[in-house]
Amino acid sequence: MAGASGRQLRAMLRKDIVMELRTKEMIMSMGLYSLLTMVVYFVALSQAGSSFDPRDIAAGLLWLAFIFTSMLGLNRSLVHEKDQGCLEALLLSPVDRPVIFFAKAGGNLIFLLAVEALTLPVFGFLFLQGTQLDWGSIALIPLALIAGSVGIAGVGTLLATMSVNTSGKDFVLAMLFIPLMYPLLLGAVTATGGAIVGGAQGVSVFWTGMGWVIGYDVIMLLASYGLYEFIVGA
Amino acid sequence: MNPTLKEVYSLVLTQWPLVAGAYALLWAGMVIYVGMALKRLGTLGKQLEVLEAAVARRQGAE
Amino acid sequence: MRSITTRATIALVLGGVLTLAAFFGAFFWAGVPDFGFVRTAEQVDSARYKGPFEQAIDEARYLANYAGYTVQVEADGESVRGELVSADEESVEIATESGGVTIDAADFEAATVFGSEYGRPDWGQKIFYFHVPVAEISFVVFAFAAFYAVRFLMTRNREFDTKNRVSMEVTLVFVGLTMATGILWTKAAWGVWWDWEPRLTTYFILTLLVIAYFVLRNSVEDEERRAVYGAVFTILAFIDVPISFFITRLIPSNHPVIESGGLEGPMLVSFILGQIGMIALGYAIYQLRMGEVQLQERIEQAKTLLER
Repeated sequence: MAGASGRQLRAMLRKDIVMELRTKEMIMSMGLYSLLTMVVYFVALSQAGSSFDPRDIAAGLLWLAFIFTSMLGLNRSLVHEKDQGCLEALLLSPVDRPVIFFAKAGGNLIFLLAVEALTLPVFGFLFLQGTQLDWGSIALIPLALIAGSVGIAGVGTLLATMSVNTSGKDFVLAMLFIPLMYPLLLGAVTATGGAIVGGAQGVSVFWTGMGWVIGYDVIMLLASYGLYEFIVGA
Repeated sequence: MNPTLKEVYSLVLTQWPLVAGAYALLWAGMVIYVGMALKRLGTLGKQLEVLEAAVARRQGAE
Repeated sequence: MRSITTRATIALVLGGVLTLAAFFGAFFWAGVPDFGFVRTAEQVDSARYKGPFEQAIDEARYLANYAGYTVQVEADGESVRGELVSADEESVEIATESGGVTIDAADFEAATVFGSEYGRPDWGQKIFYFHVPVAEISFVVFAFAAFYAVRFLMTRNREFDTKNRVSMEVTLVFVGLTMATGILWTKAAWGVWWDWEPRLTTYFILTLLVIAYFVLRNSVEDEERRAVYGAVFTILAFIDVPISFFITRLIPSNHPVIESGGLEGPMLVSFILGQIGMIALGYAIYQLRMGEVQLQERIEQAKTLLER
């Protein structure tokens, strides 16, 4: 049975990726959105002069971009499924409900990580030029991105499955998503900030933040996995 | 007032308006909420009486 | 129906009486704790008087804070006692009974300052008898809401959905009251209306989650779906409750916590009265709202009967 679930999971993931490769819609919209966010950051910081250290706020700005971009992506990925009746079709087929959850969350995770991988260098190029960076600790950032994105994709998929069936789709998603994401965001910003500042202290801050993020991931993914069945069946 | 005395009393007295305000707010909130709930309950009760009387009349007529 | 209003009335009266008792206990029976002292040159009146104090000073320049106080200065092997006029890094001036004395700071050896000590009463602490019970009940009612959510998902019985929704409404009332009283206390105790401090932040998130619950419910049209979504979101949101409760004990926070054994006598009794009273009030509000929902259902029934 496990083999069958694995095959189903792979098939559904492949479907999402093939569709994305064909239309490039998710990556394009999310990537351009995060690029636009960078423009907004520039405007927001334009009056601050050069009296502050961009490394202090870089982590917060990065995750701000990721959280809003991910909301856009989550909403789109499930609106697609709903508009084309895919979700109903999936429910009729003999696929375990948890498999649907992991397939959707996995797809969202892949797209989110792709956009983050594109955004990170652009952000560094635009805002962190000429600052002293500790490359040894910068190399830890992908870990924080992966851990944070796992939580975002897992909980986000559950919440987006709810919000696509409501009358105020994106607003409801934001209203549900941002407060629930607060512990994860705080941990992820702490970890990323520690990695950007670097040094022995920065690395210890990084692992503290990662502890929060991983704890949140475990609890929330278990909860989402357990509750998805009810949501998708309703 | 003696400046020393003034300092002592200012230290003593700055907090109480806010604390009293918090109590007042809490009581007002409770009383208003419960009052509104009771009022709605009364209105609904009256509506129900009228409707049930109508139902009884209808059933009597049938 | 009748039994519900009876229960609600009893709980309402009990809660009202007990919270009032807690109020009087807090203000007229329980003592006012002190946080720190005020020191003055003379005894001003007996209120909060803690007794005399003596402060030892080892360098002349530290005396500058005590102008107007009675001091005894040891300098050059002699001892001078009188009212301190001024002090700086060069000289110390003292008014004694036989006239002014100026001491070279270089000759200064030691000094003792005499005055009176007064407790600074912490009136802000009085919020504790009300704010803490309200906050606790908001957590407890939320726990009931989560319990009913689980029950609903297990049984699909609409009755549990109604209980879940009404519990969340009561939670919203108590969360709102906690926020309102808490913000006023924050101004009294910390001098600011708001601080992004762990307890306040997590509780603010909790408020947003409770509001989000109603936003979610109101934007779903299908009734069955609305009930399931509401239940699922209640369970997800409930994860914030233990976080908010334990966070002040886990990471450094300005928000005070009750230490075990920290309360005694009248304070403890007033606090417990407040807690029981708040539980009763919460139960009363819950029953009132349940009664309202049941009345509405009966009205709907009567209307459908009439339309036939």
